[in-house]
Amino acid sequence: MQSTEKTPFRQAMSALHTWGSLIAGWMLFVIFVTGSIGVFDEPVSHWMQPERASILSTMDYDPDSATDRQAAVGKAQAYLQQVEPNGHLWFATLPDLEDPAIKLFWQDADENPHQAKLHPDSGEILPASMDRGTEGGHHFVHMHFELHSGTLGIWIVGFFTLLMLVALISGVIIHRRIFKDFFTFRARKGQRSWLDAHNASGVLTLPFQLMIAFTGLAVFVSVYMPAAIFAHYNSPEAFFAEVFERPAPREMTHEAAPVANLGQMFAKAEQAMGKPGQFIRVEHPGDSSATFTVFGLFDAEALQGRLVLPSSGMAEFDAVSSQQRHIEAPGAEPQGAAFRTQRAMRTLHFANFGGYTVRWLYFLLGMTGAVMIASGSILFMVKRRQRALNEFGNATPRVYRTVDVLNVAAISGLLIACVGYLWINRLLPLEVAGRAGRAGWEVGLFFALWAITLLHSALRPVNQAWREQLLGFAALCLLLPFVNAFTVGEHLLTYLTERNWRAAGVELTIISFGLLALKALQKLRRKAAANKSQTASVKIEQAGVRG
Amino acid sequence: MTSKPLAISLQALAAILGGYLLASASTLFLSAILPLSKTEAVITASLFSFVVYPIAIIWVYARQDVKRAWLGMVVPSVILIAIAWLLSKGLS
Amino acid sequence: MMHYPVLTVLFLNLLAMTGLSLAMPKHHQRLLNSWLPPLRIWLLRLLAGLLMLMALFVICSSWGIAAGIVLWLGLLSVSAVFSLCLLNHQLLRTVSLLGGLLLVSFLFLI
Repeated sequence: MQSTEKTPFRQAMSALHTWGSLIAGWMLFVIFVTGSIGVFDEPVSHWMQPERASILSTMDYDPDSATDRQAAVGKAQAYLQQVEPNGHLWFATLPDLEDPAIKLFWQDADENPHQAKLHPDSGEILPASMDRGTEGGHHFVHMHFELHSGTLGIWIVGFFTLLMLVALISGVIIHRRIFKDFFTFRARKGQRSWLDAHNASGVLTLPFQLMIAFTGLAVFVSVYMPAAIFAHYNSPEAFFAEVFERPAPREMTHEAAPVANLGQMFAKAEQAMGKPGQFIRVEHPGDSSATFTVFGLFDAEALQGRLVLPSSGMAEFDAVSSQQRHIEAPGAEPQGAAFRTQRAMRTLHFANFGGYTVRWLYFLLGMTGAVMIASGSILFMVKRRQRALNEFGNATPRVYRTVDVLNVAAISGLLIACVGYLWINRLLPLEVAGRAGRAGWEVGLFFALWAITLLHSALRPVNQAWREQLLGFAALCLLLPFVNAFTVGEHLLTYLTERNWRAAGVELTIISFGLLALKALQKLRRKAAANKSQTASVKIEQAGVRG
Repeated sequence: MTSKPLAISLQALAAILGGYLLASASTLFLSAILPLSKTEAVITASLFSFVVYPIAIIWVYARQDVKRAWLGMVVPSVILIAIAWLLSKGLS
Repeated sequence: MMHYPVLTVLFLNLLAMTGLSLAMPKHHQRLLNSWLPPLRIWLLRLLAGLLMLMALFVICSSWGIAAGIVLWLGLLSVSAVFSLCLLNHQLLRTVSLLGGLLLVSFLFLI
């Protein structure tokens, strides 16, 4: 892009970079922003669940008591036995001091997912006054890796991640002054500034961007590249059983058999592992092939700094006869260099190996990646607004307009939808058309809000659309603390006096994003005033080209 | 000579589908020849495909010749898959 | 204690990146308003390299080699972006501020 004389190879790479990234940019921006917010899924969930504190302060349940844990397993079984005695899968997470509910997840016989939360003491469904139906911060994580659309979404994200790798490689090839321009940013130079911003944000964080794209693919290696697995194994499950050195899942026999007392098996499992259990799983309950698995408590604090995580412990039983089938001692290391490498890549991608230090680092670098992507997409149009290149003949103005509309909706529109999601969390009534539906409503309204920003950007001239959406985003960010105070009575002062650092961190971060948006808006306004006469002349020129 | 939109589509397909074919073929081949345990060979070969795939795409666009691009993807893939298949026959 | 070395490493890397940018005639001219002799280019680069190595050593000694290298690279990128932003503002004042902060963060290590 920099030099005037180009070899055919560089020219080809330049075209690949420009057009490939244009197509990938919108989706990649979504993946990067939601992924960066997703590293803080736990604090965001915490902010979105103000009612949790009331359970914590009143409950008798003690996560450190083996009897309480065993009783909680019994409550989970009692509920699931009644609701879905012959499901495909039961799964439960035991209460802890962060999330004090017994969280149930199950699949019915047709493998449709369901979930519910039980009170740790009574074992009854939590009322809305104690538990706001919400996906919390997980919503961003799900947007990030599957766009809320299951396996298809995982494939779509994977495809765009591949394009990201291609864009990074082709970008490095066409950028020949990497070291000379290392610290170069020329402000207030129009197209030049956008190019500098794009290059600098990409080059300076290149190791992170390459790592995050590659490890993102590596996390789902068995989904994206199953050829060798299918060539050497009967099923992916058989492959995983061998990799993890665990017994292969049993086929259903279709002979009815009741699930034995899970609480007693759970106590045996804890004894065998020598540590508390945290998750339980029953595969095809009600069938004589049913298995019961207990997974040990995951202690992130103790594993800080380790990329290859050892096992948290696991014990598996025949769920009908209560016979132990398999035990995996806590602390067991994954074996084999390749498997360890894949596990390390997973840890690297999930950013959970060093507490908040690593999370903040990933957030900053991920957002810089988002800046690289957004500035690239904007640069595409800035360049063509200076001088139309007419790549599409008569259709060129229409294509440019589409790019503009999508740029606004994908960049500022997504930001609006993300902070709007937190508004929805506070404003949507606690009880809406059935308890299970509230979390779904929140996500649905998130998409609705995003669709409105697309409509808005399609109806308004592009410069106005940018300014209005940025203003909207800034307003949503800066007014959120007031909405929070009026709806649930929490605000920065209460957070600080209660030492609720996570909620305070969420609000302060959002406020600083609001201030950044105001700053950007101010710049846009100043530029618009200065460029008014210039744009008029460009318009005449474009009209001439069209005519 | 084919039309421009058709040529662009064929090139993109060579990159995306042909590239995936070549990446899969390299995975099959590597998992068959690597002197490691079965699981280790499969994981190594599968992870390596994420190196092969982007390079294949870059190569397709560096060629700027749709016919050669397709040949460059399909011919090595067929050879790699054939060798992997023969090895699996011979060893089992 | 684990989090404090991170600050130290961040500031060490920031100083290193500032050194590297000052080793470029263009930036040197603009910021310090003086000509950059070739010897000083290499001295600045050497200094920056030493600072980076020191940062690598500090972080690896508390986080272990693998996670240490990952964090070091990440912090290096963050400081590169940050020093790029600083280059467009008043650099020298910021550098002395950062130097002071670095010294303070050393106190936490003791």
